[in-house]
Amino acid sequence: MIRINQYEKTKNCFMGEINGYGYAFVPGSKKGVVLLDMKTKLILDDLSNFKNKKDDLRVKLLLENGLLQPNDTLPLRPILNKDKIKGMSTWLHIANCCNLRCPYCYIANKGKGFMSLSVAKSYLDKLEQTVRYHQLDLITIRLAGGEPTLHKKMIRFLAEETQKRFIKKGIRVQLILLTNGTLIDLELIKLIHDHSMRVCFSLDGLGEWHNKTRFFKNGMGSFDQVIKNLNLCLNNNIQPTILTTITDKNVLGVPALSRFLIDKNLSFRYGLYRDNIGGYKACESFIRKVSEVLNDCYDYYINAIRNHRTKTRHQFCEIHLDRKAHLRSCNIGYSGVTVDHTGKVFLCQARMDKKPIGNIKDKTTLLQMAWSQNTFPELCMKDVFDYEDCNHCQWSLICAGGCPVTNFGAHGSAVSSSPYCKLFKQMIPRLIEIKALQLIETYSKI
Amino acid sequence: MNDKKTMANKEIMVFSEAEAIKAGKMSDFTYECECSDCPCPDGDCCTDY
Repeated sequence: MIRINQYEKTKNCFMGEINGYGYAFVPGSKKGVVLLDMKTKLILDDLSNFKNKKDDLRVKLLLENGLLQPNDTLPLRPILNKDKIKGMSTWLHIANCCNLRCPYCYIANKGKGFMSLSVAKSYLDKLEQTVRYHQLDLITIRLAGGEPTLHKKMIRFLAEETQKRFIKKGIRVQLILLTNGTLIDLELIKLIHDHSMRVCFSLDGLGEWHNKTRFFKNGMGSFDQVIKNLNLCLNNNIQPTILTTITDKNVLGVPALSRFLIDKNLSFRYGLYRDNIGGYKACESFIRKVSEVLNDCYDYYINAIRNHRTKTRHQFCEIHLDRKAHLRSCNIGYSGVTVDHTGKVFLCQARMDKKPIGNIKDKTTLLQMAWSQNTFPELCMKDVFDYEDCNHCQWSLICAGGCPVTNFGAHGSAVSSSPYCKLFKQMIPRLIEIKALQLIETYSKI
Repeated sequence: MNDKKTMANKEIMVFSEAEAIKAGKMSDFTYECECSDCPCPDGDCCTDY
């Protein structure tokens, strides 16, 4: 017989109801979102609703799923442990030039220049040394720039070399092509297929909404070209992830874009322009506008899931609902670096205007360079529980404080809460609701 | 949805995302973008509790 007064709801447990089900979610829990019948939810809401022996099983299941815990359980404090890192990622800046002139691009010192074969070989040597020294078994390489598809020969070289140097030796490699989508052709599509690359297209709106910020150097918008190539990918069984940067210029075009992406079953990530709110004076009004278009998007998304019209997956900014405890919103200074076209190593692709943290010709490994970085010294050995505004937040393990570069721009410190914190707090419950609905769809098929 | 609603009201039902993934009915959404979080395979292999 269970004595209910021995238990309490797990700290930070969030609950809601949708489609006649209850659901609960504990940030950072490996269980993820948990669906509940309504009576079980009532017990979790208020333990005095526990009535009789029949409820024993409910309580047992709530305990198994980490939603209830014995009274006075000490909170777990996850900490990062560098010795346990098994994988690392690189932003590999293979082209320093681009055929578009997006005004919000955060890549500093863009101009001419491609990564040479000799730099690429040295990078791979350095990566091999890093993998060996730290005994890594997974590497992720983002082929980026500038526009990486301006340097197709390099994409092919890296794909073939990583196969020889890593994959054949049992090291897993994930290549991700970050492209503006204007230069995709059948030859590249074959290469993407042959090497199981993932592809991300930038699309900021439909028609003129996209063209406002993503245009060629002659001023012509790139939308038609991007859509043509997006269809080329889809017709050849490549499903790109769509990356959208929301700025003041395209925010009102987001509702139409959301409908297009959801109806087309395209996974999409909405991000916010890092310096959109320079000085952050206009932050409140921008947040209001974004909040409206996101709520519109999520209403439409929920209807599409209910009507079995979409299996789209979506991410908003640095909000992670993936059954992991996120102590940092990204892996800069920990398990990720940026390598530019000349071989200089940087903390982050958005900080290539700062002093490099190393060079691929240096003796130290890429991870050692990341750990000894001095671009954001305050980031060393700190995680979200050290951020004053975040350490007591219910959602700290979900957004981990947001992008350190954005935070630095807003507050002069990378280890502070996001200037978009208020928006994140509004949207996290909606994103959990969407996950619960997706889980209901899954449950109905079991 | 009415059937499901009835079912939810009648049954003892506690069903997690982890179970759905284990049953092969759902996958963890690993999204790609310009930034990367911890790329370790099981997510928290570099985290201690």
